[in-house]
Amino acid sequence: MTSRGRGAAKRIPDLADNRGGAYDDGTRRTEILQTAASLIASSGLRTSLQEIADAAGILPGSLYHHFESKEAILVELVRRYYTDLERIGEIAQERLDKPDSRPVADEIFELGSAIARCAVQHRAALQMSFYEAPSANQELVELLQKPPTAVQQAMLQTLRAGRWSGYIRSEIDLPTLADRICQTMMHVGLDIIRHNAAPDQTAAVLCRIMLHGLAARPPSDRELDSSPAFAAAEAAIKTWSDENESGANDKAAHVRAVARAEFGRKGYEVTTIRDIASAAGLGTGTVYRLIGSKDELLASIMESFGQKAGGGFASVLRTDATPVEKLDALSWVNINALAQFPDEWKIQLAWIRQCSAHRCHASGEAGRAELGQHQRVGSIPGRVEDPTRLDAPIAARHAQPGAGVRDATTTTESTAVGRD
Amino acid sequence: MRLRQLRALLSEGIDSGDIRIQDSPSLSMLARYVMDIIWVPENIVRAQGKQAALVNARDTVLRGAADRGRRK
Repeated sequence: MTSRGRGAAKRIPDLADNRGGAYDDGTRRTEILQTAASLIASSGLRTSLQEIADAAGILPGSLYHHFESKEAILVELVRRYYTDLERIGEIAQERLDKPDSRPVADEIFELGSAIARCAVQHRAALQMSFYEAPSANQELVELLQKPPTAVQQAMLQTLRAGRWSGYIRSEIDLPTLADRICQTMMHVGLDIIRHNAAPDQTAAVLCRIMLHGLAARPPSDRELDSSPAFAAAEAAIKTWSDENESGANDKAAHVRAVARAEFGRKGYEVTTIRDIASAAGLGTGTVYRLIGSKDELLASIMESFGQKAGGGFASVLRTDATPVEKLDALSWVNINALAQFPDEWKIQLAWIRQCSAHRCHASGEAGRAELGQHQRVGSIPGRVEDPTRLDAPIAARHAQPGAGVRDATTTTESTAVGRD
Repeated sequence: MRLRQLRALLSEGIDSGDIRIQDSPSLSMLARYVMDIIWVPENIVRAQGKQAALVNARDTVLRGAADRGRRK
């Protein structure tokens, strides 16, 4: 790429220098936050103030000296995450204004890696900023509704530089690609994706895939549209609406449909069986008799969702299409699952927010099977060990800080059909 | 189970030359990454529709956004 910008003597920090984050200040307050973040990242948002105090080695009363509530801790964690992300975006944008002879690909990797490292460092905040849900804490709601935009803008500017240099293909929609890359880099902060790999290494592989593609020979849309795998995906997707129609007259199916909409609208955490009964025009006792407890209801909804998406997955894999055609068809199944079942999607996310694999136990194999990989990050609809610990319904909203433009969710979504 | 199936699919593609990835991590890790990116983010599906999301998936996962003739 050719040199750009005005040129100036001021030294701009290197993105790779941002490893410590803006708030690594060694204060007691920061230590408590780091302890809380570590617990929440591993145990989910059910983590109690008592546990945070125990892990930090202080009495709960002393903890209150620093934070008035658990939600105050969550607010601060999200605030620090956003501050670091904003800083990364600003540094990247400043660098774009300076003369730079590095290839655009290197700049994309560098920014992507910085986002990924930030996501890993702030993975508790990342986890809670992913998904939208009602919260009693207005400050947290407002904070999550205003994610920083600087990293996405920086990525967009970097991609534009790539377009000018001829590196990025002319038919690619750059804002969408910037959004996609930024979100994917944030997924590196999810243990389920990165596993034990280094953040930079994970970011580099994901960037390479998105920039260079997995197909040895780039397939045309026409080829992919006519593949046997795509036909199998289409056939499987068609059965989803058939199933919905056939279940419409069933009373239990009606309650599940109402519950799905209520969970999706209000959030799983705060929706009660009484709410569902009221919305369905039935008595609470009738709803219990038809569908059991709220957890059982959630498990049955997710089982149905998982069967649909998983059925499409299996149909595609059974065909004699090429691996590239099968990957394409799997993407199509997933896109349709997201488009047709947005409520199920949101419900699924509620569990990621609330608990972790260490803390939530499935009441049945059905829920475990359908949520697939989610169980690793803690999204199993099942028995709640202590319902009183659902004390902090969190209004998480975006997967994508920076998506003021497009609010986002992520990939853990991937997990509806993915498990090991 | 499905991650294993995806790993097998990637292995088959790499062996046949249908799929190629530079400096590939282990197949297990690659399967995790691919499991992630074969899900187009929900906001993109919602804002742009299914067809545009499909094109985005193809332009990233399969074809890649870069011009293959210009690697840098």
